[in-house]
Parts: sequence; structure tokens; C-alpha cells
Amino acid sequence: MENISMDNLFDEAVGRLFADISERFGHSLNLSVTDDETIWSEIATSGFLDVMLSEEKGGAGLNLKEVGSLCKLEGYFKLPMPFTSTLLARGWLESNGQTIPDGSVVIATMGVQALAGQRKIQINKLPFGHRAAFFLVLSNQSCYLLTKEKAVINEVYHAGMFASMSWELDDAVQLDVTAQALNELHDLAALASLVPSVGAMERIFEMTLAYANQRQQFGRPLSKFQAIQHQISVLAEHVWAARMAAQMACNSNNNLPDPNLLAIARYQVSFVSDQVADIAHAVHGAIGITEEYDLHFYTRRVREFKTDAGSQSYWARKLGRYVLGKEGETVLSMLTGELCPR
Amino acid sequence: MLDVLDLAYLPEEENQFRNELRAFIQEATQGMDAYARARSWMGFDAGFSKKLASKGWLGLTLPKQYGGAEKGYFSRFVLSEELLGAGAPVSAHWIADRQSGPLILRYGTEAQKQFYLPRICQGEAFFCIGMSEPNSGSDLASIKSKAVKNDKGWLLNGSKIWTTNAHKSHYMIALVRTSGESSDRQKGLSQLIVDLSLPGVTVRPILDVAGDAHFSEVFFSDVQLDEYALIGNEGDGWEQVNAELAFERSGPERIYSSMALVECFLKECRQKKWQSDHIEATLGSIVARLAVLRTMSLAITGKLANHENPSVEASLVKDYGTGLEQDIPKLIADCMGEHPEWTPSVELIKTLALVEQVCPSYSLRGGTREILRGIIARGLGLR
Repeated sequence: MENISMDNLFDEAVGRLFADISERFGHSLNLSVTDDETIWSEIATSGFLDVMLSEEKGGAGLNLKEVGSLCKLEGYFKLPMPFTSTLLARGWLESNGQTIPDGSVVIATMGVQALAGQRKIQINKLPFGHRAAFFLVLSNQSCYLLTKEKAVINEVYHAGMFASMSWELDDAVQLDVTAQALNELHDLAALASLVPSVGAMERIFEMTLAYANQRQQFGRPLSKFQAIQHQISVLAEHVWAARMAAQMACNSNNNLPDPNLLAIARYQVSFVSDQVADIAHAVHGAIGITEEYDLHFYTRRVREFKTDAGSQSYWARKLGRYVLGKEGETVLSMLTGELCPR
Repeated sequence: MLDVLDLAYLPEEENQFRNELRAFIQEATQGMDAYARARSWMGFDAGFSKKLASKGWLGLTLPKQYGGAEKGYFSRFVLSEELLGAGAPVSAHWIADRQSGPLILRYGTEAQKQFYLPRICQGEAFFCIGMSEPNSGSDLASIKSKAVKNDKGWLLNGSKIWTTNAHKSHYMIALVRTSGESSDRQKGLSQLIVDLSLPGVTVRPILDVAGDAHFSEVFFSDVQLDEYALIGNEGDGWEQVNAELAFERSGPERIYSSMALVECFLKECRQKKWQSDHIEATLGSIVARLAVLRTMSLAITGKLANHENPSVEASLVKDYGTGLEQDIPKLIADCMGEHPEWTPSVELIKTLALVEQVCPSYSLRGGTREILRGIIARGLGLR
């Protein structure tokens, strides 16, 4: 590399930090509250959570294009904490003149039940919910900031990646933000779910390739069987497409994705999610579905996050409605125009 | 090695070129319905090719001294994309322009360049590529057509099949055996330029499922070629063909084969106010996948422009692209029968039927799906 850019340096440093955390904590499905606190304090002290903040706020002023590869590392190193959503939420809060809370932030924009009669908010699938400190929640065209202290944890799902949680409405702080900001928050929730998933896919691909080369059957490595080779070739296609999609979603010179490129990326990543996980498991055989072998951390993330902040149909319909409504534009003119990353 | 694909951006000046192209193509193809456009790069119209030539858009990347425009890979991408995206009838010049011309430039002698390249740029020399034979499809190295050196040049015997446009072309670049036996495989193969008007050449068109005759069977019976027929080095045919295919696999050909159907369907949805969640989701999914593939294809172009050799990556994009091209008719067909009151037009019905029938060819031409997956696997070090 002749010129090492700022984000390469960040990538390396964050990679080292996450690799270290993953080495110490990543093999357990049942982390204690103390573990959670240790992990988060190491991330927070590193200063990386502020890279999207402006320089006045002590940040590095990085844009989405510059943090994309950083966010993939969350999935690549199976970090059990909402790093990406915290990073994006902090940027969004600053842009909208809000106080930035000290702690991890989860963004929830779908599946939010506002139980008016009971004056309660309940969310049954919150990524890393029980581990996070703060929650930006979209409900009835309003945005609330909720805290872990006031939450009731209804259920922590197996493997601890998602939880069901509820709050008394009286404990919710409503944020004074524009309708536009609410849409942006929804897009950020989708971005926070898709980019780390692509990182997880990259790891899945590496593991599958390595396993096929190492595992022997019928006297030769699995990788020498054409049936396996072709499955891995297809896996590579899906992962390469997902990577491209993540780059498209992050192709922005500020801290917000282009809404159409985001919809394209969210669709593409969801579209390949199960196919990626299925091929990886097929190649790995029985060891892949054991708790002791790490593959499940990554395939779980890929499968479970594919519907977080909207399933593939949701994003396809959003894009499809937009295309249908653009009278006078052809698919070609849109592909080469506004749907083309610039 | 399978390299990472990074976003590539088209240079600003290509916008102007695109606008100019789009206006020209719109005008030149206004009489074509979706059924005609759906032939994509199988649509043959020598007149249209001539018109493009008069604009200076054939031989776009060839040097000016041979009549080309000496433009770069990005311009070539834009030109291909605009032509294919509109379903313009490019078949007459397509192979000469995209494969044979660059091949002659790379491997040809000065005399060959001076003879063929200006003719390609003027839309006066159409080429076909003679690779498959009756018993040699994916197993290309097993070909049996043979050229034997004699005092006048080369004496060619044998046959080729599935040769696109052989019956409408002036020349064929044929891969033939010039030494050894079939069992020598890749060794002893060479590429020869065959003038298809020579005595001893018989061309028989083959009708396809859509009623079109775009490919042919070609027989060579003691065809006497002169000594200048050899292109590149004797015995290097295999390497040359692979370099040529790598080039062919990298373009937008592998995304837009079903575009005429997509545009026709979109237009009809708008006109007839067809509305459903399913239609929205279908259109969105098609457009999303197209957008990602196009970005991947552009990334390959970026690598070419950067003097890299992305042949494995090009195979990956091609295999992925043909998958989408083949999914498109299935996805659209499901929408059309969704509602009892909807009455699809004749144009949409026959365009869909055409694409459904011909789409298996998308993952056959230029290397089958299985061959491509083998290339990717080799790139990953699996074989």
C-alpha cells in the first residue's frame, strides 16, 4: 500500500481491539453483566465511538464512506455489543442537536408496540437489548430515548443476541426532532444491521474455505470435490455482492446513507443472508451446528439480522414504489442516474 | 486469486457521452417494440451498425491510426450499457467490436491490423467466433477441426457449431488444431481468421426455440487459407482464447439480457395502474439486484482501467448476472397472473414468452455456469 489512509489506520486499530475482545469473551453464549461492562468500557475508552462526531465535539468527523469497513468489523469479530448502532446514533444525535448519552445505544424502529391503554412500550426483538445502555425508539411518528435502568427485560433469547424489553411510557424521554430526522433514524437502524452482517459473511466465507481445505473425506480434502467447489463459488458470489451492497449503502460524504442506495443494499444483504448461512453449514456438516464451534455466532447474526429494521420484502417494496412512481424514468435511466453511487 | 471489488466511479466526462448516445439510440430504435428489443445482443441490423460507425462509435477503444476512437474502458462500459439497456440491435458488429477487434490489436501482425481494424470500425467487417464443435462444447480443448500447413498457407478441414452469426458474418476467428492430436488437448491449437466467402465453406443456420436463426453450423472442406490467416502465434490458441473470453465476460452483457422485458413490464404497470405489494416487491428486488450487479460490473471495468487482470472476478460477476437475468422472466410472470382483472398486452405476453424461452442460453454462451464456477473455484485455490 503506497498511501495508508486515515480509515485504514482506524480499521487496524479497531480490528486489534475487537479481535482481543473476541478472543477473551467471544466464545461464550452467556456473558455476565460484569463481562458486558468490561467489554463496553474497553470500546468506549478506545475513543472510536466518537469518530463520526464533529471535531468540535472531540470527534474525527469521519463520514459513512470512511466508517463502513470499521462497522463490518463488529460482525467479523462477533462483537456482542451494538458498536455500529452506537456510532451511528451518536452522529445522528449530534446532527439533531440532542445530548449524546454516555453508553451504548440501540436503534429500534420496527416492531415497537406502543400499548396506549397500559402506557407501555414493548419491543420483542431488540438487538443486544439487555446489554445496551440506551435505546432510540421510533413509535407513532415520535422518537423516544429509553434507558436500561428503567427497562423490564421480558426475555433474553438463546445466545443473547436479542432480547424482549418493555418500558413505562412515563419513563420515556421524547426527543424534539423533525419528521425527516425520524426517517433518517430508520435508515440508520437498517444500516446498523446490514453492515456488521456483511462482516460476519466475510468471516463465514473464510471459515468455510478453510474448513473445505482441511477436512478430509474419501481420502481427499472436501475442496477437491466439484459439488463442494461449486457451492463455495456460489457462496463467494453472494458474499462479494453483499460487500458491494455495503459499500453502496455507505457511499456517503456525510453521516446519512442515500435512501435508495440503502434500500438496495438492505434488500441485497437480506436476499443473500440465508443462502450464505445455508452453504456454510452444508460444507461444515455436523460440526457447524455445535455450540463449541464458532460458525454459529456468525450465521446466527446473518440470519437474525436480515429482518431487523425491515425484511427484504419491506425494502424491496419501498424501492419498488419509488421506481413505479418515477413516471418518465426508465429502469436504465435510474440505474445509471440516481441509483448509481457517486 | 479472487480479489476484492471496490466501488468504481464513472469519470464526469462520460455523462456527456452517455447523453449523446442515449439521444441517438432513442431516435434510431424508436420503431422497435419490446419483443424486438428483447433480442438484446442477438438483434441483427447491419444498417444500425453502420449508423453507429458513422458516429465513430465502433472500435471505440481501438487506436486512431486504425480508425478507432482510442477511448478507455469506462467509455466502452457506457456505450455497451446504453446499447444493451435499450435493446438496440447490435449483433452485426458486436463480436467484431468487442472481441475480434481487440484480439487482432493484441495479437495481430501490422498487416492484419491495417486490413481488419479499419473495416471493423467502419462496420464493414462482421466477425463470428468458431469455438464449439459437434463433440466439443464445454470441453473445448477436445476440438478436431484441423489446419495443415502447405505451400499456399493453411488447408482447413472440420466443422464448427453454435457459431453466433456465422451466416451473416464476413470472417470467423476459428480455434483449430494446427499440430498434434485431440489427445494433446490445449497444446497445438491456434487461431485462424477464416474468410467465410472462400470455396469449401458451407454455413447452415440453425433455428432456435424463438424461431430465430442467430447461430449456425459451419463446415470446412479443404478450405485453402493463405499464410496470413494465422493470428498470434502458432500453438498459442488456447491462451489467446482464454484472454479473449476473460475480456468478454467482464461487460454489462451479463446484466441486461432481460432489460427489455423489465422496461416493458414497468411501463405497463404504470399505464394500467397495476398495483400490489407483490408488484412493488418484485420490481424493487429486480432493480436492487440490477443496481448491485451493475456496480460490480463497473468495479471490474475500474480494474481493467487500472491495468489489472480481473478474469476470475469477471467470471464471478457473469455467473451472478446471468442468474438474475434468468430470474427476471420468472419473477415478472408471477406478477402478471396475480389478478384476474389484469389484461397484459400482446407485446408484454410475447416478450415474456421470448425471454422465458431463450434465457437458458444466457448461462451457456461464453462459458457455461459450471465452467464459470470451476474458474471461480480455481481462483479460490480449490483446484
